[in-house]
Amino acid sequence: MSGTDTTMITPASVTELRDVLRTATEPLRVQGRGSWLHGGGPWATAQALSTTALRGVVEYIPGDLVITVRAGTTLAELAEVTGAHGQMLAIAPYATQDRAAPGIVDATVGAMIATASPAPLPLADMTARDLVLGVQVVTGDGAVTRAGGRVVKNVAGFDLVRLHTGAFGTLGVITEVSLRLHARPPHDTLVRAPLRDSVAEVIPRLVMQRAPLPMLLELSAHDDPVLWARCAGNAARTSALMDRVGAMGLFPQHGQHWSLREEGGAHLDAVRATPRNTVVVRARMPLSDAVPLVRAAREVFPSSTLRFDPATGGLRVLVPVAHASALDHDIATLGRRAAAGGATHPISVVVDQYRAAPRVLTPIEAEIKRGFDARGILNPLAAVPHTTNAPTAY
Amino acid sequence: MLASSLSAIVGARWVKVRRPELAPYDADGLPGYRATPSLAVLPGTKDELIAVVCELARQGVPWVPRGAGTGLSGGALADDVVLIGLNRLTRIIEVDPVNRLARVEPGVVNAKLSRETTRYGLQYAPDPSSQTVCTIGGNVAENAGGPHCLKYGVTMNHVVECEVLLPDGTITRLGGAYREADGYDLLGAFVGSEGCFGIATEVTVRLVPLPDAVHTLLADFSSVNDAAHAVSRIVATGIVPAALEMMDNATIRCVEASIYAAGYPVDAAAILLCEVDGVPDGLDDDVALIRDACMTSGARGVRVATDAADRLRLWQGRKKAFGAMGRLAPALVVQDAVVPRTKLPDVLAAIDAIGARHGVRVCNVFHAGDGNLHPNIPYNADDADESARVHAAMSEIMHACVRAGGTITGEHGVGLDKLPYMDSLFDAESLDAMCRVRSAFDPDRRANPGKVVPVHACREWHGTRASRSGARP
Repeated sequence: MSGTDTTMITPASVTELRDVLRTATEPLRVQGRGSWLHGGGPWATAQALSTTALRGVVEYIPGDLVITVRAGTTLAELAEVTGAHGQMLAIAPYATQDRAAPGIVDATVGAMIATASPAPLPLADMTARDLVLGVQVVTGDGAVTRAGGRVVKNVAGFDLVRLHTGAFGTLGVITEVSLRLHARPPHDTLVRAPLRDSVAEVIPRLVMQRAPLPMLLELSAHDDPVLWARCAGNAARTSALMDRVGAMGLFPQHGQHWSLREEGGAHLDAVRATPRNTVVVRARMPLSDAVPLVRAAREVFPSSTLRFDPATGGLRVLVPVAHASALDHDIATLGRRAAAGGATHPISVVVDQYRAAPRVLTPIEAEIKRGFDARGILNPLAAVPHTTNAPTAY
Repeated sequence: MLASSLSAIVGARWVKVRRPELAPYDADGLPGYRATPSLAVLPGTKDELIAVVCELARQGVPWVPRGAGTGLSGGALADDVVLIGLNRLTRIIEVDPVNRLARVEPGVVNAKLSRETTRYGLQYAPDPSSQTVCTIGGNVAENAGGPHCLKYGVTMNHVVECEVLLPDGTITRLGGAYREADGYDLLGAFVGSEGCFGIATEVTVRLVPLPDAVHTLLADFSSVNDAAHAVSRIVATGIVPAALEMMDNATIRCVEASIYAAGYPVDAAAILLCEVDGVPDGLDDDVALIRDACMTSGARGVRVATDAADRLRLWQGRKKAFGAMGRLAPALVVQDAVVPRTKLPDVLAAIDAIGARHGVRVCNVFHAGDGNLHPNIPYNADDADESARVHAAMSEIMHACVRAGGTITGEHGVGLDKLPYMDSLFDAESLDAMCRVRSAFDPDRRANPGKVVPVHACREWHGTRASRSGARP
């Protein structure tokens, strides 16, 4: 299954895009830079339509801490423009490892919103959903619409901004995005330290701590467990937060830290990177079930990297394609083992890449889809559920 | 008859049909608008509520849900249709301190929830000024804000799951407290839908830890313009204050003459109330930076609250400012609009000029850090001439905010009052898109009819519900 098969359509303006949608007779596969094509699917093969030519800043008034960009603008371009004014987006989402060069694919702002990309170590507890203030969207029916606006608080009309965020372009093509920015904190430190205490001892400390302190517990197949943390603020606060990280049960003498204003960015990119040929399994349970969840995941996915976010209770399992041949079975086992280990709630799992069968739309979702894309031309789901969930290489 | 079939569900005493009984429901704090429901029904349990909505669906009757009726935009007014009061559904179903979640019925009062969670060192962060009476269900419907939303976010950022009773009488769950996000963000669409998509029968919210330390500053300015510039300077420091509020001289005088007197300087042209909170380390440095930003902008002085009682007093004055304005005139129109923060000085000057031109007295008390204005005008609603001038001034203020790149409501909702401005903000295709989402939730348009989106904006498209069965018997 592939998202691209013929020549890419790359409209250079919103009007051009609108005309493409109005006159389309065949389904279209909407994409940014094409690095997350298997997310949210499985999608049917269709004519590729890229937003990469809709690029650049529409409006940026630094004093408002708000920027409006065209959807094809990349996150690196956004960071450069805002960085020049000491500002930044509070999140740097997970991204696919680049095929050619070292590092990650520089994804587009439009794709970040369309996929509601999760992000590790966000500043101020932010998610994509919290940061998007307004969108311009061309619906599947070719209507050029706006939702939200360019101010940080807005309840004028129904919240279609949230509806398009994470809709994977199935309701319309996002062409413009207004985002809330944050001033770069004077100190923004990325900390990495190996665990001294056991994972089962450390996790309860992580989930119980009360400070605004983004952390990520990383368990990989070959290395010892490490804790990542982001300590941001003025000098006194950053130093106090680093002390708190140290108190989680680490080997501080083996720890490292970098300023995210300088060389730390590359290290954060390493946390963000999702290797190619990887199936991403997102699993979630209440914080109170974190220990059994992580323990079960280690048993069931011994050759995968696990990243656990103690702020949300979310666990990201990076399963190499070679080890993903019995994913449904493994996920069922994960839930069972977590329960056997003392988890009290059912597990919630979403497979981000290569999910086996399309999700069934609820009646309300189906009505909304019909209202925005009556012909069903935008990102149609694969018609026939796969009989096997064995993913192919990409 | 409708009244008797509803009485059979909730008991005759909870169905109000006589005019004097309906009087409490004919306003929602927005002067100039009165509407009397044809009937008010007050279910006492979720099951009763479901049965009521099913019965209304069966009879094809439109209805308006209502929490405490403090929305200020006319959204909870029922004009000769059925009003469903949710105030009896006041159960805090569960507080889960480990997972920092609370599950409540829609009629739970905002402040009560925070009070009940304090013992765990937690709070429900969104704090509308009406928090001592407004309900969580109403907060969800309006996507309510409050002073502390500058740092903590609005209702939308705190609601993680809703059990929703759709207008056809079916129950559905939106979002999920422990669920990985998948599919459309229907919860995001539902929050702020002003009762047009259904009724939240259960709301699960995030609780956040009470901050370890809090510092509250009061900065005193001899010009509104200086205070507005100080807001920009504070925002530019990179510090995200928990709250950053402005009050102008007219408001300060009202508060100081009332029982809520907070010790504000009555000769100040404007004051800023700024709060920083969080881990204790580094807070003093933040306070020093904010003090500098204020002094550089021309503040006459900055005072830091010395203890919890002092802090409470400063906040009491702010939160009860609307009540204090009630002394000035029989009616008070509380407006709500948002502008980009850099436009605050210009827009405040424009509001001043508009007020002067129409001979009305505008009192400003607002969430300056968000650019969320509340220009308020006390007046005599029985005076036709004055009412007309107030209305004209408000309309001009709204258009000035839209021209500045802002929006017509930040936290009170569109309701009835802001309907005329929706066309100035959204074009026909954007409004039509909103209508389509509404139709997916409520194809018959019986929930809160005639609110939020002007009727003329909805084209002939109507949702059909092929895969969902009709109303339950």
